[in-house]
Amino acid sequence: MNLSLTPEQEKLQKEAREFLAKECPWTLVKEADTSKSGFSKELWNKVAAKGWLGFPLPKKYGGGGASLTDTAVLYEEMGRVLLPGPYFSSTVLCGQIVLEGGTEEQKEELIPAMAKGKKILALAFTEPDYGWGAECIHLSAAPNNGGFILNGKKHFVHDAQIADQIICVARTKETVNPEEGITLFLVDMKSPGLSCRDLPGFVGEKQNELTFDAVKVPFSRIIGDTNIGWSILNKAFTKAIPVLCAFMVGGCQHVFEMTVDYSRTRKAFGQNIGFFQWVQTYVINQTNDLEAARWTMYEAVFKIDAEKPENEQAIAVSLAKAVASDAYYEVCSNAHEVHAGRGIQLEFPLYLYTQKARTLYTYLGDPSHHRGHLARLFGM
Amino acid sequence: MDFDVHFTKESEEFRKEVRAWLKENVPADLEWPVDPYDVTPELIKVRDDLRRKLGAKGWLAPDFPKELGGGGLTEEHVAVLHEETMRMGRGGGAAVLGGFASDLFVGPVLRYGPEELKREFLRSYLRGEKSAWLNETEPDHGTDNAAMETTAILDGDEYVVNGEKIYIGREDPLDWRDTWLFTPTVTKPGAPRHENLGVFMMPASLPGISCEVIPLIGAEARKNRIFMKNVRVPTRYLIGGPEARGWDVLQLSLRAEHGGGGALVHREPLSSRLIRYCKETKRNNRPISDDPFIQDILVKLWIEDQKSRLYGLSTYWMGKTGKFAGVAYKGVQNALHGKVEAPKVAKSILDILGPVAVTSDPELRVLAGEVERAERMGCVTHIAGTPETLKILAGRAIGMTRPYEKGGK
Repeated sequence: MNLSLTPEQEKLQKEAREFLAKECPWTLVKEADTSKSGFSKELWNKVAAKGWLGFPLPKKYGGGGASLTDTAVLYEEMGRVLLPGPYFSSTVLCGQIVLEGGTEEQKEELIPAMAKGKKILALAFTEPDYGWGAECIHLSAAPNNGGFILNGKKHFVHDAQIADQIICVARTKETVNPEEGITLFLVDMKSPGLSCRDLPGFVGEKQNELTFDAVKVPFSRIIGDTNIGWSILNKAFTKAIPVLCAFMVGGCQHVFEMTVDYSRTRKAFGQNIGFFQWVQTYVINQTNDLEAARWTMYEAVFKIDAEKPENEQAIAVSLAKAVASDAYYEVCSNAHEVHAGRGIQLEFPLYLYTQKARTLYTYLGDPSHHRGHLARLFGM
Repeated sequence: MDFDVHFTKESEEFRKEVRAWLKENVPADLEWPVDPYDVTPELIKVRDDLRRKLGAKGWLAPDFPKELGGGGLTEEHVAVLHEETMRMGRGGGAAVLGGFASDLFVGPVLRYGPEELKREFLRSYLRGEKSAWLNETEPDHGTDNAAMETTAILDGDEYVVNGEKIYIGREDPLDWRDTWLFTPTVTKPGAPRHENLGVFMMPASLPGISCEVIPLIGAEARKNRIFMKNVRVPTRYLIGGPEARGWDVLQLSLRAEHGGGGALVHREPLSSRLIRYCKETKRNNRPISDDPFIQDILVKLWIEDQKSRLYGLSTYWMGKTGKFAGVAYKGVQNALHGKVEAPKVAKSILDILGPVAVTSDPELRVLAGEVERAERMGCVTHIAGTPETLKILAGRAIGMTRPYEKGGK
């Protein structure tokens, strides 16, 4: 057993922390939050120059060839500063989908471009019948002249506003088992009939509604093959979700540190508020959530890196996401209890973390979804 | 990172040895009661015989040096020993596990005890000849050790101890006089808090000590009142010398008590056994686990058990690698988590199973009475400090309390 980071991982952690502290102050996150694009292209290019886009993707396609644990170390640091942009959705999530399901030609076309930051992809999954199960996929893809025509809506599509292409999860066949008959389409955002609308609110990153009005997609733009989309997604989600959890752990860590600092400096009734045991309780709850999220996440990436049996990996991943979603939400809630009015000021960064925690709570499955998944994995 | 304990060929050989030893020495039909108040003298005798045999092999304290009476074994061996013991489930497992030596006592004596005491205590304790009890809590002071009233006044080359302790006891010996009592006292009355304590490791057989069983709902262990009236304790039983370093001695013990060592090996959690039970048990011709509401409760319980496992594992690792400095709340964290969860676990099980959760009826009880025990454990959150006490410790470790609340030096 060895639960320490390797010297190389510690070096990466230090390098990422220093780089991001300098390049991504919270004011930049705030600007991105109110901008149309939701990110800084300049910073995106700097991160690309570091070789951190496509970090876990194979070197043969221009990726970093990093293990998932290495990637988790990097994304934890990104989560600490709330690095805004499609760092997860494009290079990790869509990167894994292309890697798991794409043809060799598609991998060669897409992965190097994603790894260099030249191409941004986004995943269009959830619909008005919201949910992360296969039964929630209704957007129709009907065969037409050697291709398909897509009709329907996708809701809460992260980063679609800046994507060059999206991977659209569509139904190509109605079957008794909803996991069959799902196909993944690579759709150009400039396709005729495709429109994108921002969904504003108390959200941590840009989310969009995509409307497909008879959008034509050639057969060659199917990732892998028809009707096998669900198994591709499953494999990709297993690898991508723990990286998202690492980002969330980074957020928890920062909010915890911010809360401890505040409790040590803010005075009320003649003393630091941290001297009040009720205040201490909020912070202790944060440490418990933070540590639970951190170790379930690291155990999940370990199991994937160590190529443990699929069922074991799936259990670890759903455990990690169920815990991370709850943890990030609770860590922020406890932070608001301590920060009181200060916590909701737009001149103070806490609200940005809280927005992010709300958005990522449901992204790729909320705790209830993953508990249901665990129940099935346990044979219930 | 690597979350697996790797077993070498040599340790797998050791596993065979342990398995064979347990088979030979632990009666196959041994049933260990869930309620410690149901443990009979016959069972205690079986357990004590086992403990002495374990002690003779050095397996009571497997990772302690051989010259001190331990097994001189590696972490891997300890993991094997624990795994194989836990594999036996209740009955044999409980009997053997009840015998393992505890860091509550060994650490403080080794670090602060006089040589003579080290030899006397460790020899009898690690060989399984005597057990040891934490003789600490007082009727009016609970976990507020600094307010302790039991006094130990030096008179010639002996201390005279007077006072009363409550909720004392771990695994029972046949005769309570065969225990060592780890006894914090006030050796310097009038000295400031944290500078007034002296801790003794003294035989319970000293004249003037009496013991009275306390009737409790019965969950963790049978508990007693210990009365000490003009007990003359030779100075060689004082740990830490005459400078009233009791607080430092106590801290070592308390840290172990609060989970500071973490845990490398974990017994199959109750939630996993409950999931199995609910899948295998039918009501109205359907497995209990078919109900999605019940599934959700079961998985929630399982998730909390996983958190506990990982808190224990990461705490163990940090302790082992000396990385505690930055995260000193780690040990407290797992203890606190268990205490906060216990009442929720009890309620969840009631939600899942209904009234059968609280019966100990031999025909109806669930998981050989473990479920009914969990219902009782839901009210036993004070042992080794209430949740609120542990929060104070965690708050200190995080660095949020006033400078004068540091607790000890």
